[in-house]
Amino acid sequence: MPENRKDIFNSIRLERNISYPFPTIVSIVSIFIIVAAYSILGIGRYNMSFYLSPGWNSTAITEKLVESVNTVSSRAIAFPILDFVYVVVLLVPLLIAFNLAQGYSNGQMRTLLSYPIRRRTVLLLKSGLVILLVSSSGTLGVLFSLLYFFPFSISLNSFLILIATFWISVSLIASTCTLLAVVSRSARITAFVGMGLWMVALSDLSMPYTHPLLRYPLFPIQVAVSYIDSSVSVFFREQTTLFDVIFGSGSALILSVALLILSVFIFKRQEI
Amino acid sequence: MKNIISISGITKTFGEIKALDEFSLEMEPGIFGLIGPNGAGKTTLLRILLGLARQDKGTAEILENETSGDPLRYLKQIGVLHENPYFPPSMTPRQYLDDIGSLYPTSVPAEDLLSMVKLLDAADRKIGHLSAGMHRRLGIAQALVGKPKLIFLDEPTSNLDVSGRDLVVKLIVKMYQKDDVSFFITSHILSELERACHNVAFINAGKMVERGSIQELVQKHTQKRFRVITSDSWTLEEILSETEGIVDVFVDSSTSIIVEVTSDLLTGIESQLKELVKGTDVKIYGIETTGTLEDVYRKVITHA
Repeated sequence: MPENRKDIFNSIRLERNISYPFPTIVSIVSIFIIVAAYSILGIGRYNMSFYLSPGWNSTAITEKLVESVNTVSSRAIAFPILDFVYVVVLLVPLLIAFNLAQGYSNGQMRTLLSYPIRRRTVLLLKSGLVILLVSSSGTLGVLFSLLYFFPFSISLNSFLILIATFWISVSLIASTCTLLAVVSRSARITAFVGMGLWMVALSDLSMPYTHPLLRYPLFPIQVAVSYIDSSVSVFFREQTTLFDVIFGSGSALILSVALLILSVFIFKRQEI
Repeated sequence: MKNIISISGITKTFGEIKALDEFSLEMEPGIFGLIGPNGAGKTTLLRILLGLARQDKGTAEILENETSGDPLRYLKQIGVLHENPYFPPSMTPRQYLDDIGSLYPTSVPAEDLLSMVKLLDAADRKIGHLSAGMHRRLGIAQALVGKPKLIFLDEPTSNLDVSGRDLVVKLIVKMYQKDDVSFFITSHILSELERACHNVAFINAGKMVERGSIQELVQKHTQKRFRVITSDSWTLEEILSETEGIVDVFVDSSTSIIVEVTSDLLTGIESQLKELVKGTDVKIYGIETTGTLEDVYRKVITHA
């Protein structure tokens, strides 16, 4: 019996009300806005200057100014996005642990699955809402800070690339933690192992000595930041191409979808 | 009459432990009670019926739907109250019932449900601030939200005071009589099952040990049980414990004692008891036959 759109919408509303009461959402959005604002303030550390040459006309000066403003605004997106990665590897495992893994022990899963909701829907809603909440909070944080510090100067191209890779990275981290939650059925294991795994990966596997075939799919944000402005990327220290960005993001997306499918497969066969 | 629950030869093991052993049961529309000690297999059976666990062997059907198939087929027609349910502490009862109700094809308005379980005053309080009893009444309300044909209640009256229990029992009987809703109840509080249920089954170590209507079972198992009204039940207990032909003695209160006797003592029981206490300070004021579901429980579970 397929679920219709109304059923899914009602399930989303129920999951939002159960797991994300008003103060939780406000706190998460605030964290991202604060991190974004703090990161943008750090842009001053990077030297960016140009000199007017004799003979430059007003058009040349305007073009140079626009180019500089675009570089500044690209960096203003790249800096917070890079810092968000640290927030995400701490926040996402915690949210998945409390909203999904803890449901096994506190009776939430048993209660929910006794209502007419499919198991698949329950699992995808729980991890999907984490992805949606964290990614949209990050996007809001960047937008808020950009509009506050650099009004009317957003580089749309950079913005779209960085935000898309940010969403994909959040999905990858969330789907890893979802699988961990389903397999372990423990909030503690999900939180600590999830955070630990991604922290170790971030500090070790993101370094230039790791093969790009492993590095790019695991860290699509860093690939995108290096593509936008290689001087900003503290990890890669290399100029990446648009192809690298597409390869990294595409494979990260495929990996996160595969992990979610595997989680659903296990969850559907689990005894609650 | 069609069975609304049919269980045939279900076996479920957890490692070395057999939680259910070739368990079979058929339930017609009505109010049914499943009785058994902790660890007897009641909750495992409930989990299998709700599609939360899978049996190793056997089949189960709810409202003519196999539980091993798509659970959504019957979950829309049933209500469930688990022993330890989870209700989100930050939501209000009204909000929660509204949200849950939207998952069913038709639902009872939250206002009606809250008034039914006498929780209207707390409708807009956060669930986390409700007392244990209110929590339980909310549990009953959420089981009724989707206008179900069949409701599973696991220990529905735990955490409830006497008036709360009365309310639940009356509600169950009323819903069956007025709306034709059937109930499958597991409970340790047998006096309530006695008041509400038409049929009961006893389960012990995963096996069905007895089943039937309450009247039949009480008649069958307690015809040799008597309540003796006495001046000193503790001394009488001492005397009776050493008497041949007395199967069981249970002090009910300081002036009342329950005695189970063998067939040999059945005739002229009162005079025989009076003979036994002759020469002591104990006086016997009267004897009446007694029989409750609790007595049946002692007989089929404790002495099994």
